[in-house]
Amino acid sequence: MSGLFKGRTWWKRTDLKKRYDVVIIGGGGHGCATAYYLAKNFGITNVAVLEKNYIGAGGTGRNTTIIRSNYRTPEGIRFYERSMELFRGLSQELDINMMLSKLGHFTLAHTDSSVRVQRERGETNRLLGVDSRLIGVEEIRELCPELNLSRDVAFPIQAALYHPPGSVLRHDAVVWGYATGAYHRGVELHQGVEVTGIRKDSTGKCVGVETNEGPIDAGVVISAVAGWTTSVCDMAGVRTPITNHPLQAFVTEPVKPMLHKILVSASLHVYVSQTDRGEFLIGSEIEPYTTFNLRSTFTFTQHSSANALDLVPQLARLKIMRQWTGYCDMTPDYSPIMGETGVENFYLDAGWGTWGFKATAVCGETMAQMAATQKTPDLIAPFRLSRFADEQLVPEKAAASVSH
Amino acid sequence: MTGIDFEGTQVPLQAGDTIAAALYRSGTRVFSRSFKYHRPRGLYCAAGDCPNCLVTVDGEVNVRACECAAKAGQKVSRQNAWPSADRDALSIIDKMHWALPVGFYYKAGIKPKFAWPMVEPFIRKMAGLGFVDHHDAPRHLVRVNHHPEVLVIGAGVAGLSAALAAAGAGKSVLVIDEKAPGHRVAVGETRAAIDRLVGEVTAHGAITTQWNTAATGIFEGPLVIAVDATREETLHVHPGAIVVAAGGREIHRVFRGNDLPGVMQARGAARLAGVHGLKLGERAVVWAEQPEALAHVETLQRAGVTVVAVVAPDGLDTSSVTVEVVRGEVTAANGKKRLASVVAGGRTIACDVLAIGSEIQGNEHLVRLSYDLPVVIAGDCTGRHHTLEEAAASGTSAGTAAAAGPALYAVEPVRPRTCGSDGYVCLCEDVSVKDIEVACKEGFDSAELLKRYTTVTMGPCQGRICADQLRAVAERVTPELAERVGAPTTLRPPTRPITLEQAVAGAAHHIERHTTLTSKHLSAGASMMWAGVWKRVEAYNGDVQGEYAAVRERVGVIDVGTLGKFLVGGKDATAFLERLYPMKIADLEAGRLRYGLLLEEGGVIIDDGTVCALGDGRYYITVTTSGAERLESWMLDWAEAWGHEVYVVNQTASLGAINVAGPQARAVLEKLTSDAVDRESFPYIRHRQITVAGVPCLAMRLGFVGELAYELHFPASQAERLWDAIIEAGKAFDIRPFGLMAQRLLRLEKGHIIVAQDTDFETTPWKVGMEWAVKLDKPDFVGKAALLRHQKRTDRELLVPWVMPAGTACPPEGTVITVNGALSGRVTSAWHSPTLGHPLGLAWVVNAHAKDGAAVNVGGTTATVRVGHAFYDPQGEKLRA
Ligand SMILES: Cc1cc2nc3c(=O)[nH]c(=O)nc-3n(C[C@H](O)[C@H](O)[C@H](O)COP(=O)(O)OP(=O)(O)OC[C@H]3O[C@@H](n4cnc5c(N)ncnc54)[C@H](O)[C@@H]3O)c2cc1C
Ligand code: FES
Repeated sequence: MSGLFKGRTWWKRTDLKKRYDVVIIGGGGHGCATAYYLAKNFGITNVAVLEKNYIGAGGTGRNTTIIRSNYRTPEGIRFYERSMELFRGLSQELDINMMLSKLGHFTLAHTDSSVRVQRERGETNRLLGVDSRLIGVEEIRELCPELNLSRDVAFPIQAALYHPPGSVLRHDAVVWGYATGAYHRGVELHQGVEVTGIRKDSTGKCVGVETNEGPIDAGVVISAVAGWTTSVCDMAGVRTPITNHPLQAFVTEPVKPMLHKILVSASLHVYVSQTDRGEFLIGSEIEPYTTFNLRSTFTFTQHSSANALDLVPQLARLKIMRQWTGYCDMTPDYSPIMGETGVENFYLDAGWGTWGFKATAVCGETMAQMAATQKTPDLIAPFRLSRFADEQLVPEKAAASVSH
Repeated sequence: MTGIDFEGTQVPLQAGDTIAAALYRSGTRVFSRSFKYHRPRGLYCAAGDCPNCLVTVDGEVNVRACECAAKAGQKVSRQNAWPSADRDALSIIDKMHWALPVGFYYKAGIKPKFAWPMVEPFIRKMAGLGFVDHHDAPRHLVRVNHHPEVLVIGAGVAGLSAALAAAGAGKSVLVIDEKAPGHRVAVGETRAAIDRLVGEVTAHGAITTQWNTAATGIFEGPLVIAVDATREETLHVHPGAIVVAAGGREIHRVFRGNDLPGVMQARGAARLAGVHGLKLGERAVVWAEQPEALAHVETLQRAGVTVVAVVAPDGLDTSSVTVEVVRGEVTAANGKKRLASVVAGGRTIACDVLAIGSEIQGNEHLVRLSYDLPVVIAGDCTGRHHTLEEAAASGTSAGTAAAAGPALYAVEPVRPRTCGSDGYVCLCEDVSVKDIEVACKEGFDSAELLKRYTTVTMGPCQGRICADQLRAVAERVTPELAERVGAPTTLRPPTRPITLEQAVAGAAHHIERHTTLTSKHLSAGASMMWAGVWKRVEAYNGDVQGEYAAVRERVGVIDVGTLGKFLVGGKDATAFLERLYPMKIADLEAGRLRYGLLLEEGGVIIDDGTVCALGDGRYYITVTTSGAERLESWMLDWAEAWGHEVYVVNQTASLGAINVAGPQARAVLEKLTSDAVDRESFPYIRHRQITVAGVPCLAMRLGFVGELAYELHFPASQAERLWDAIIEAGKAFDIRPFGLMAQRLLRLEKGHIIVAQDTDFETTPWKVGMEWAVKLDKPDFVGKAALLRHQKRTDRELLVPWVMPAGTACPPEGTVITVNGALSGRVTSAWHSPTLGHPLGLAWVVNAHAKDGAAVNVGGTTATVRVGHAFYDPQGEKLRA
């Protein structure tokens, strides 16, 4: 119970220096984790995380916190499984309770085509050592009696991909944990500092950034800004196939916990879980339009409610407490874009769409390695930006469009 | 039953009672136990803002007792307490604050590693407030649309005046209020003014009113969502302009003991006393920070309470009250489970009620959601207290402005001057001043971070009570960062509670389409399945094998009316299709048809179907069932992009389609038509206009299922007649209707792909062996550039046919393929072939093994890849018959 009764200093403000070995743009989970692993694994601490708002202001503080590794492609499965491994020991490593709740994750299949996809995912997962399997209605009923398994609905549930390690955890704890871990190892966290330009020398090499607090020199610049990637890439003159879509979610008022599984239905475009606070957390897929506008829409509330009630009708009279929106940097194949950009010393950690929270840990680890060694780690090689030009995609849409 | 059932006891009712009023009258003082520490909580705001009176009513959790009308027979119980709210065993937690410092959960339960998974279930049990009733099925609530020129939210003096002004300017007006007008206002001159204005509004022909209807959010449009609790309606209001006159509320004052039962906001106390006639206690102190609060002294007195003192700041003129005035502020409240005394101006005053008439802040929530929408605010909602005359004037000018087409009047949320150094800032989440101070010092130095760390503002009231106090504390602790910590957190809908079923009202969320033949299929024993938005026949009486055999051996008939069907014409129709499809179109003679893939710009297959040249420059094309809607706009987009003069008529719903397939198909048709359908006059891949059973049809000879077949397209209104005639004529040949399952098996034996089942979003024609369907020598077509690039690459995976030896079990679709234990592909289609006597199918296989004769492992059984072989009738003789 270390530090429980003492006050604890999570981080403090410091003055900006003129130069850092590594500048990380974006103080979300990915940025802070990268800083942490740079310090921890490579002893590189002359590092600044520049965050234009506050730590965790972006997708990190808005997501629905599902972590899992039951992806579709071997590249995806290996990558996300490494993140799960890191998450499992993270509370102890960072001395912060991440409140990891291993509820188990259901991807519900309501159509024969969905059964086909889930079977394939389950088999591929198991081949790569991930606990995941297709289960029938009877087993679903046993594991989650709250679910509406009636045949008498528009889309009766036929089967489910069951992924016991699928968990939720406190998103804020993750980003604060990495931030404080990095801070106590000497990394600087600068909130309220916005990067406004990427500086290059005459050969086109990246040598630093412009900020609202003046220019900063840097040996390496990493962009970890998720939903803002298109604007930072514009500054750097890097072209990506990313488009920015809003994704919404809502929570109900807290009630005594009754649902102990994470439910996802791609056919109904909805997912439902209940938090340790008792709130029901309900979300959907991205809005079909692109925008930099975070306003809520009622169409989302209406349709997600309808779909959630198809799954768990008992929620009918629960009160919606708050709905919100985040940005998602979507890629054509629902896999991320990581590593080299064509601009020397400017690396990208992007394309996190609706699925990037669970990657926080592994991204930190691999991007730190990338910055420290200037070589692309094997785990992220398939996610190179150039794959779009080569048409060597890593197709994860079937595993990531509704379940995030 | 004349009363309500409150945890097993009967509580009598009086006219106009809310649940809170009835319970209070019968002696209830503790209405709930707080979220974290299980502290006793009593009525506080009595206006639906705070969390203190959340109860469960007839199985619905978290109902605001102060706002919910009491009805005889209701079952009401308190929440978050065991065994009861009066004696809550968990209130022991309140004695252990030292053990629950701010951020407790982040700091505790970390080591040893196995501890948290064991502790978590208990923490989970303690969470939440009420219990969900498992037997509540969603009700279908009505959605009502309104289109007033001006919507007025709030029927107080300002709102009603605004409505009259807007209507006076010739506009249609809708006025809503979450309660009946004046419902919360004690008898007095304000109440009289409201009653008079309501009379005028109701008499006005251009004004519609709807009470007990709470606006829950303003969205782009503008669209205002409101819920009518009594009529069980959800309103979708689409106004031209909006007046928000939602009134104000007293600022939450924080001091030691500020959450004790007996401490109330003055407007709430006045409501309970002046509207419901409750004698709130024996001795009351009124803390008045503004003139309105002084009027509540008399209201309390009329209800029988002795007001022992008024606490007021130095500047306030208190000459209107006759009780003792103590200058200063209330700095503490004492008492165990209820208020016993307050400390003010250095004195301790014994009392059991404290009514706090603090400064007014506007109920600006809806305004903060309206961004650039046409919204005007009026009355107290603007963030300061209005006298009667001021409110009326403010309403009138707002109504006039709204009628004229308003500009947004921005609101500056009121800043509390100070926040005490002790007490509860957040009632919903049990967050004290101390907690926030500690969090600030630990490094959480913005309102958003403080919110997330302490959970202040994250409760059921969403910061209505505590948001401004949070900022006051934060500013005090970190003055150098005042701007950062002082910035308000983002406001989000809903601004008033809306249940899931209320939100759903009116959503037609599963669109289900049927052909005109569905009732025929159902009476023939069909089971139906989804195909896009359509319901199609899966099989009749489950007999897929029988249906299959009929088609292969005799004749079968299938309803394919769900296919996407388009007539494409206009000056540029040929050029248009030539550029749309990867195969040749211009050389397609009248009477001929051709199979065509549709590709997107990346060269990926998105659909397939047929193109018939009608000979007069027009074309009739079909696409898959699920593709129709999407492809219509897709085609129109291209036509526009290319500047082609074409028209695309979507005939999917107006035309029916039936496919008659099998060796005896011709014999069946011959009985129904006098037109020539023989092999010479009507050969394979041709189409003809023929009349079948008196129905004019466009007939096509196609071979998806691999047999002699005629696909008939005709006016949908004739479908039943034609279907019956075919079944009748086919009796002699033992015809069978067949469904989607049999069709999938039949096509698989031919090796035909189904787009989206066998293909994915990377599938080019190359990868599925359909080079023949692409003519790269055409000048241009959608996807050509990408395919040219593609040609230079080896594909990682190819879609290939495979077979398994007779006697092996057919693997389910989706099974993965391995070679030497390494993942090497996946099965997309698989059936046991009745004709060939062994399992066969299609699969994606990595390039190295996608070769004829390669052996791969499918779910433990060896399968052989068979590139370049159609399984059934490889020469296609049956089709051409
Ligand atoms: C509603 C919703 C639900 C989701 N659910 C899940 C889920 O269940 N599971 C899952 O794995 N993923 C989920 N996601 C996706 C996930 O939230 C994101 O992919 C992930 O948080 C990205 O983290 P990040 O650290 O890369 O970026 P962010 O957390 O977005 O951080 C980027 C930061 O960069 C800052 N920034 C931007 N521009 C600049 C600049 N010019 N200068 C300085 N700073 C800048 C921003 O302020 C921001 O703080 C969800 C997303 C949303 C919106
Ligand atoms: S008092 Fe309701 S959220 Fe703080």
